[in-house]
Amino acid sequence: MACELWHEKIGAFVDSELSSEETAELNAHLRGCNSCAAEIVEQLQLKRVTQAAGNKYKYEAPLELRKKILQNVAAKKQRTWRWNWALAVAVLVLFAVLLYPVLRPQPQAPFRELADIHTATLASANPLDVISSDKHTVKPWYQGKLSFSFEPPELKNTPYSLLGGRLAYFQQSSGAELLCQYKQHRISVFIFEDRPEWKPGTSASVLQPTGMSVESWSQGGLRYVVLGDAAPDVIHDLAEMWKQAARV
Amino acid sequence: MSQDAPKRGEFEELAMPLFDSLYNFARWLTQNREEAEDLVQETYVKALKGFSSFQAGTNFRAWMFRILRNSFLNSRTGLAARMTVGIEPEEEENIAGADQHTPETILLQRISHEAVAEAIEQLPVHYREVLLLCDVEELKYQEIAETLSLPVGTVMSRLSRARKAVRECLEKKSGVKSGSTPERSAAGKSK
Repeated sequence: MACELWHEKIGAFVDSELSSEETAELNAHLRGCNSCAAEIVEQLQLKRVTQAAGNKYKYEAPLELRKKILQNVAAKKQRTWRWNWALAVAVLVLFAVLLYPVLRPQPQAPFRELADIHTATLASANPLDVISSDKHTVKPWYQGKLSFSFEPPELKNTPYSLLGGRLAYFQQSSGAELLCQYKQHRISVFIFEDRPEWKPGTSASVLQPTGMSVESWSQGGLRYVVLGDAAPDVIHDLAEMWKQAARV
Repeated sequence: MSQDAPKRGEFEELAMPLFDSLYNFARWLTQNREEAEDLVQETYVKALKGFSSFQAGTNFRAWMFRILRNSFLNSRTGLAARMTVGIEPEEEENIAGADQHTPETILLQRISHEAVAEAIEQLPVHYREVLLLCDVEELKYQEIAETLSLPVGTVMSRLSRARKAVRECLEKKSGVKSGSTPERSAAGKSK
């Protein structure tokens, strides 16, 4: 190839843009051509000084400008994030609404369970472990069977009577279930060690869907639950007697 | 809107590393700080808007430089630069005829960076941009061609002319006249 043609390619050689074949050919040509060799040296030097000058006089971008541009890009991104948050909140609210019937706190749930125990006790052929209307017989029966003791009220001369007691198991702990009677209604008084999941107090109310009345309170570290199919005020009066007895 | 989030993140990731280069290029083109800042801002705004049209797999750097360069050409300074330069006569000129040499190995050794920078600044825009993209930003010919929307052949010829112009400018500055050295003339003739 003639020098004139190679001269056209020297720029590409200097810029490392020649193919490997062309580079090899040019190298072979340079061995016998001082003119092209000199041209390459000059072009390389010119490129080098251009690069050096360009880098030395490289304009440094102002930090403020970078911040401004970054903010522009990021601000739009933040807006997007706000939308994402809004979407996330909307999804959470929707879930909450949909799951509320399932996940809502059910303060009556423990009472329902106790109502089941009460019903099972009444249905049992031998509902009571200790049968006595005398609290001085019933109370000592629990000695050694429970980690706590309690004081039953004196029900003599009241519309209520004590039928006896048994051990009850509720949520992996044992407690006392005392069966009392009011007319034809039999009422269970459950006593367990108190737990944080119990609400501080539940005044006499009617359990749905069983229709049983219940009253519960915490006293002296114990949880009392009075439960039966009598009217709420009957349950309440009995509960008051138990509260009174526990205070003594 | 939420579909844009990854796009914006991707844009930031791709575009911010080019910030310094884009600013430098803008400054060399405009030779004015404020104009360069406006130009870079405009470039990012346009690029962010048009990012969805950017085709993955194509050259992002060239794409950004092209946006900046087109914005420049449409700016007042850019329009003025285009008006004064006119359409290049490069096709008629013989590129290979850069033959009247001074002992440039010596000239280039003693020339200051400042003088070279001045020579680059004095180049017409269409030479300046191609030289900067090649030698300072180190873009490949193909990238420069994409940036300037030119065929690679035209990029090469413009580069050659830009370098020749720089060389001549440096010769003038140093007071050395082209072709004044018998040695180099002899070498030229031997081609």
